[in-house]
Amino acid sequence: MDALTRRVLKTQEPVPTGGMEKVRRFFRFYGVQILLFLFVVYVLFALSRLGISPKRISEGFTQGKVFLSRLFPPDFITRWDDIRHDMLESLEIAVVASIIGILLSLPLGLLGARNLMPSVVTWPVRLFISLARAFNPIIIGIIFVKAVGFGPLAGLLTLSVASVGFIGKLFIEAVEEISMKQVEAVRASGASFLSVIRFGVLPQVSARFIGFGMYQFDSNLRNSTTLGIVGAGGIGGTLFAAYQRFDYRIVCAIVLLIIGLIILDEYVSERVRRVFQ
Amino acid sequence: MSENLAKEWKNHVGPKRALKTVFYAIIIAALVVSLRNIEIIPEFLKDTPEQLMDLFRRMWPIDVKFLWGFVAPSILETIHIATLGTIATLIITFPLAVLGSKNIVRNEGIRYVMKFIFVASRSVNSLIWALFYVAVFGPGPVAGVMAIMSRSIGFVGKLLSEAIEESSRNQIEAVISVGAPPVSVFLKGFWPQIRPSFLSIALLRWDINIRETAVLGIVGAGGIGLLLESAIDVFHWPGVAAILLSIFVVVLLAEFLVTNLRKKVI
Amino acid sequence: MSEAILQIRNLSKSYFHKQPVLHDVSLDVKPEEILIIIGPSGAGKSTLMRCINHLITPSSGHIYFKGLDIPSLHGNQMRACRRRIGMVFQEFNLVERLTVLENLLIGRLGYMKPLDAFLQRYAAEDIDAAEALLTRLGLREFALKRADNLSGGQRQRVGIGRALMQNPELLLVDEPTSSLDPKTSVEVMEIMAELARERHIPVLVNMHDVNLARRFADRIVGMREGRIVFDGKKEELTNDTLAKIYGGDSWMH
Repeated sequence: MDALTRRVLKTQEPVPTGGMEKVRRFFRFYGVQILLFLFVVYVLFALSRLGISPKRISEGFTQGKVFLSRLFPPDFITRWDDIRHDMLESLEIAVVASIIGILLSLPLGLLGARNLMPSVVTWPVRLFISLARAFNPIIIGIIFVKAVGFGPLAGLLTLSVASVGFIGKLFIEAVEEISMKQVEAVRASGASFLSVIRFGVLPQVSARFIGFGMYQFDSNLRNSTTLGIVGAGGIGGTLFAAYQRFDYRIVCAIVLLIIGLIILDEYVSERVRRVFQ
Repeated sequence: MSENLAKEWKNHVGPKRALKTVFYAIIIAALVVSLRNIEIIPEFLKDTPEQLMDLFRRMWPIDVKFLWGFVAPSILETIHIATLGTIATLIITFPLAVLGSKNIVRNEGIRYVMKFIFVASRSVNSLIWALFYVAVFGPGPVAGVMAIMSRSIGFVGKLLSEAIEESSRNQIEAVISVGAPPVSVFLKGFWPQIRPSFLSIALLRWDINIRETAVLGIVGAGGIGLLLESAIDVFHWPGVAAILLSIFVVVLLAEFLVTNLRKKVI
Repeated sequence: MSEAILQIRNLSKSYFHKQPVLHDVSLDVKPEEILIIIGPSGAGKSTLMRCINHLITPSSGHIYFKGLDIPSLHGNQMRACRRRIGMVFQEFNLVERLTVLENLLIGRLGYMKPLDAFLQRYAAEDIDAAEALLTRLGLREFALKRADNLSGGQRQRVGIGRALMQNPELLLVDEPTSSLDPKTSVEVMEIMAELARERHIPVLVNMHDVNLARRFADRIVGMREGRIVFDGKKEELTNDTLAKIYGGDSWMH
């Protein structure tokens, strides 16, 4: 008697006779184990495909010590003018892109909501929004750099598109969750379409919209610090240039500044959120 | 109430309106200042739609041979990096998250250290993490896995300690009270409470990591990004189209998978 | 007999083929009368209401409101017609995050210029009118409170106020008391009947509650499965007709 049958017998249920039934029982008992086994096999396979081995890692750690020693102390002085200018540029790109993104998301969010608009309208809007969201900003950045050349304009366009992708989606979801009863009441008073939106829809979603905007600004700020790596303006360009020249102490200074900027932003946005709640 | 309502209404909306006006004024000021400094060249901006259309036109038809020969293996590598990075994150972060939870560790010092690790991890973009690891491990997927891991620790750690803090003491006490050894207390009292959020956080992060891994190749950390950069460098637009399409499909599939699996987990 | 305000002729509505919700309904509403439609859930009462306000387009038939054929109206004409018809809803349908005053002023939106409405520039007369109404409704002190702070009865009174702010020539009232307790129901019906009679507005109400209907109606119409099965004075509403409307009679004892 095999182990499986013994376990089946213990359950006081009739021993399976049909082949299919046997297979089903097998999975019911060993399903989790099989999944785990497959998982481990996959991990080992993936590790070997990527050429990751303990030796590789330990070599890396020795190398890492050397690298760390070359990072410190950070050098803020040598390129300070570039750094200051580019940090500000990152911030400015984030501000403008967030505002443009929010302004565009408002109408797109209303147009994409299936409870307000016919599918002829919502379908293309939703496709555009999911396309804007599917690609990492860096990829959109590469395309815009090719289209409009190096510089902050490419970054600005990139993050505007990314913002539409993100806020647009959240806003559509928020609009689709509203109570249509309130909308119906405003319609019944003979209000124009604009007034229906203004009094029936917006009061129900406006509080959440501010949160989306804040969140998107945080995200845009993070991304605007890296877009320079592909030439789309901001501090990332200076960072990458220093990295390629092996000026690791400058790299370290810039990264510390980025971390500082982001922590500061998180603190501020936490405060602002509290004011609005 | 002797005042009439019209006056009351004015007093009611007046301050709100003033606040809103100030808010909008600040935003417009920020916009103006920023736009001035960014120095947008109007000719370039006007040209953008045309340039984009031109790019897209050159992308058609997509390069199918390139898709199967180069893009597919590279996409698989991207998925491997994202998955291994996520697994490594989970292994490393679980103990850190436990140490960072208020209801388990009373020592505030330890919790602050954990919080610092999480914040530091999240503040550095994965692309910048990748730069560091490429310098350490040399170009290749190892740097990618490490970068993904370093970036994810903060996200997973923060959410996981929140989930742990929400777990109820009563259920753990019930298991302790029957005299179970610590391992059983963990497995039967603690883990069942954490499992849904753990799996859900893991899936969410995996989804995000798939998107992030797609670009790590640009700085040499493996995956489809490297191919994308070289295809663009040699202006092989039909190949670029193949890459973009495959990224889009993978991202959509990952999102679909995660959404459905999460429903099952919760 | 005076001319009817509202003439419904052969109105039908079906969402799915051959499953009509309204079946060849014809009905007149006369000036200054309170007409109450009773009937079980799903009899088509709410659909009828929504057709009259063109929130739903009927499949066939006509609704003449002072000479206008409502189902044929579009765009501005339709909105201009809607503002002449006030509507009160079962679940109040207040805009929860706006103040009570603003909810009343929603009744003026049909009269306002779009830009004024958008910027919340309400006319002083409108606010004065709202104040007078709120005082009558016993809600003056709540004027600047948010609507989601109110109790059910208060909310429904705001709903009535909103409809009356339109200066309607007809009031449609859809299950006004289904979400309220019996005492509040009577209070709400009383203030509504009182205000409507003062302003000489005919009222078309639909409700389940037979006793409440008997108490406030001038005329009662019974509907069942999308058809009118009774139309007469409230004194004519016998147990037999009720059994015909609601089906069976065990619920009466």
